[in-house]
Amino acid sequence: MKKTVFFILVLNAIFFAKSYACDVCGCSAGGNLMGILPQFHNHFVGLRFSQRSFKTVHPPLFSYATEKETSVETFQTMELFGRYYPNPKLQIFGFVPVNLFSRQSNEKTLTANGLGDVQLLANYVVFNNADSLEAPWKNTLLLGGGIKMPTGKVDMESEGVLLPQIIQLGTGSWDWMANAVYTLRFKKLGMNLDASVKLNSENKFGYRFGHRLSGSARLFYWARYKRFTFLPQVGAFFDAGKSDVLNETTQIETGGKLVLATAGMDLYYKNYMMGFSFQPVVYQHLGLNYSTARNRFNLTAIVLF
Amino acid sequence: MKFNKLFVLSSLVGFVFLSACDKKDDSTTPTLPIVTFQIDQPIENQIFKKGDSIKIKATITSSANLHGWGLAINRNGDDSLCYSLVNHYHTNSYSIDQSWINTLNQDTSLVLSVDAAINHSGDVVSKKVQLKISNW
Repeated sequence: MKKTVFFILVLNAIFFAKSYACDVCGCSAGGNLMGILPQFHNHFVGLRFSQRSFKTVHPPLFSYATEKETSVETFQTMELFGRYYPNPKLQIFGFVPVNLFSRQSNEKTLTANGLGDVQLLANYVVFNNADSLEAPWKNTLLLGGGIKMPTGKVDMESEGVLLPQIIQLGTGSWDWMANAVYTLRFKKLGMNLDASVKLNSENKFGYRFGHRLSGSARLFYWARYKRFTFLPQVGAFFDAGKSDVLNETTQIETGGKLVLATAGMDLYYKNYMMGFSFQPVVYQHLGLNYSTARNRFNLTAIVLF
Repeated sequence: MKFNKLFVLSSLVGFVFLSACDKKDDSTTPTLPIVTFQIDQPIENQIFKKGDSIKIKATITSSANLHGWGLAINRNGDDSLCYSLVNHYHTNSYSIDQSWINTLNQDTSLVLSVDAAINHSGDVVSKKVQLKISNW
């Protein structure tokens, strides 16, 4: 059987829920969609860019606060990431993000840029019959887990004042992730289900971001034209975060739920892949509705080897 | 053997989902920070005339991050607001240096409230200073 037949016999997609919970507005729900990645080449290295933004109407601090305080938080991340197979049953992922975060409010704009929190993840290939020539239905199940390390700065200041936790480059905490990825494919049509749990710990300021649950479901189709392969995909993404806790006090204006639709396309040529996805908001309840998520987009480019 | 493998796998997947659906509330009893006010100016019962600049110099320190500070000057009696200022940023220490020009013609008494917001849930701690307006 030609190798191209196996081109997308096995696909996996992984969400890495990034908590940038807002200690003011509660825009904590926010996932970072990796996209569907081919397994037929063992290793890859790539870059991906994502942008998420929220508009926040801050609750008044005092009864006499007459001016409505609004802000726009924008999170842009360029991430170097890669996958390495030490053996056919194990995948090791690494992510090194560089962040540009900002909060633009009535009065001023606060920004932070630099290295974010590095993540390491390992997936175990539980079963995979993608190489089977007999089976018309191809199944793959991956289970894994990982850690997020506090490599991003968490004590950045502006004019001598500590920046809000939300736009710090990192969370300052060691966080733990578990994920499951299931892919089903029949001929050129496929479905991908994905779930991820992230358990956060407290940082040195006594701030703990709320635990997170993310999930997605996507349909994809494989189409070839000459030496190009197209992988259009549609689906939905769900993200839920519990409220953050500061010094044992629940920050009730944080956490929430978010559902995004996802539409995107990956283009493969030889050992290269480029992809984009657009994620319009379908449903949201963030930070007691003080926060409103805006549509998102992601760009990805990888080299397989 | 196959059954065992599937059982273990389904248990693992189940754990992933169920652990996120844990109903246990991870909130705990709120522990409010200890907030200390030092108001250098104005002093208690200080008297001002119309046109005087009422300087407000104060320091607020807290055992944990605060969410912002506010100043309010209200007229005693009808509680009408004469002056207010809100500053919203997160830190555990504020140094306040503001002033307000008194515009009141009639003699009255005012109360200055120096406020610190502990959170966005309405928890505020304050220290008040009584002021007098006398144009005689």
